[in-house]
Amino acid sequence: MPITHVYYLASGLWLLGLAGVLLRREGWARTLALVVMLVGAATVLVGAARTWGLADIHGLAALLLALAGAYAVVLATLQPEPDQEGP
Amino acid sequence: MTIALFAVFAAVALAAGVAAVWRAPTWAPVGLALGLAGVMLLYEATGLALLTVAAVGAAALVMSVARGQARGGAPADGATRPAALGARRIAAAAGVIGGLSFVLVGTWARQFLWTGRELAPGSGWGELPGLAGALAGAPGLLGVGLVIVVAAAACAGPPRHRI
Repeated sequence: MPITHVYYLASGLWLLGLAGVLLRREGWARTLALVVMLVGAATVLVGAARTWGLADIHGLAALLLALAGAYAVVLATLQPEPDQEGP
Repeated sequence: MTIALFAVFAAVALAAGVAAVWRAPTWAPVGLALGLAGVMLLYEATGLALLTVAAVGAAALVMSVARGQARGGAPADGATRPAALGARRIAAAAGVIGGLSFVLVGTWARQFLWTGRELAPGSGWGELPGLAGALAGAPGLLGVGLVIVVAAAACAGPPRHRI
């Protein structure tokens, strides 16, 4: 399978996440969007590892996925939803 | 068959990504992780597939728990309704994404699509040094992308506080 497929998927995910970071105001939505961006970047590494037969890249992708999970958890616990008293 | 499976998994992942960005439901990361796990299985990265499901699924679980606690004391009438998106924000984000898409898709088209043929096995066309060279050879495009990013950031501004 050509690496272009995974490029398109990863770029779609990354741009989706970027749209979420730029468009959404809530901390929850921005956190999810950042996770989508990080996971998209990890997808590129997976495709590259398969295409060029470099197993070392799997370690980097694993680190990135763990970072995405930890990032989401930390942000979720640190950012409670704001009070909505206005309209 | 492999391409069809990839398309299915990619569609699931992209749909979950759209849901995560649009409504931010707690199930979206799980759907995203499952779709990407299928993609990683196709790319023979079994360990990463398991790690994706575990890491992103655990994050979704913690987020759902924390979200439930945060909503516990909030008023129920319309408190969870997402804020409306401003037209200026949407325009700024569309500009940023359009610029980045222009740069990225242009680079990849130069590497892969403009050849007009299937690449031969072992071909060095489109490898990472080539991609880096293509990006380095297009400073104008990168400059335009950076300008768009800076302009969009300046137009978006910080969120307004309501008292």
